[in-house]
Amino acid sequence: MNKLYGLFLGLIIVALTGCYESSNVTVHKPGVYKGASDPLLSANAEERAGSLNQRFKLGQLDR
Amino acid sequence: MARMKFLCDAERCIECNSCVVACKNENDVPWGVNRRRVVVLNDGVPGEKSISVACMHCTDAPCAAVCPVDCFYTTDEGVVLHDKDLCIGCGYCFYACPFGAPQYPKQEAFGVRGKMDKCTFCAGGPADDNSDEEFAKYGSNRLAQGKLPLCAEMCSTKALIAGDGDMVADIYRERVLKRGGRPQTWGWDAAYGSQG
Repeated sequence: MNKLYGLFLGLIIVALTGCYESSNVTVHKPGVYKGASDPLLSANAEERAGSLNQRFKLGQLDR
Repeated sequence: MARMKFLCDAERCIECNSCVVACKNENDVPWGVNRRRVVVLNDGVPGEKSISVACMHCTDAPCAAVCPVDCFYTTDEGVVLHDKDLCIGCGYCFYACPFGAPQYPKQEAFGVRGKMDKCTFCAGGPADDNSDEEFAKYGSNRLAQGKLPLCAEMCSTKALIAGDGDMVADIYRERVLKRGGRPQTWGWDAAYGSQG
């Protein structure tokens, strides 16, 4: 009887294999960047803007 | 915060194509891809005008809006960049861009476009700044070195200028005032005709 019960339980487990559905779904927000982070973004943008403006005045103003 | 912009002064551009060469050389741009091109309007007709065109790093970039894998991002300076590891080469950005900036190497079999390539404002991409990986994928990262795009820096007539949008606008405004203005070259009538 125990063997039959075990076999029946085993059959149920096999039959239900793959029927599980995870409720933890990953929802991707459209329009949000999903790539690797750019080190340029973490650098000090204010400081860089100052040096870029200096560079601009040096090279691109009319002679 | 500064927003980096390109501006090409059509009155000054002499179609020398040095910006195109500078870009290709600085970024080792692959064969068949032109991140920057010089377009001639009314070629051969007296009064023809040339403008150098590349990615305009739009504030509300249509390429980013249509990208199905969201591989575009904008830096603090307003430079629009993308991640080539995410790009699937679908070509949506190419159709969306009004300037034809996105380019494809087309070096793979069966007509596959390959990863999209475009002007980065010499700001590289999402890899370690000035690393070999960044250079191979995106080209030079001059912004991280405190430099501006080479195409603009080596323009001999200063037709192509690149930098903070406010400073670029000031320069252009001064030039227009010096030239005595040419109201017929812009405005409603120039765009749509006097009947519009």
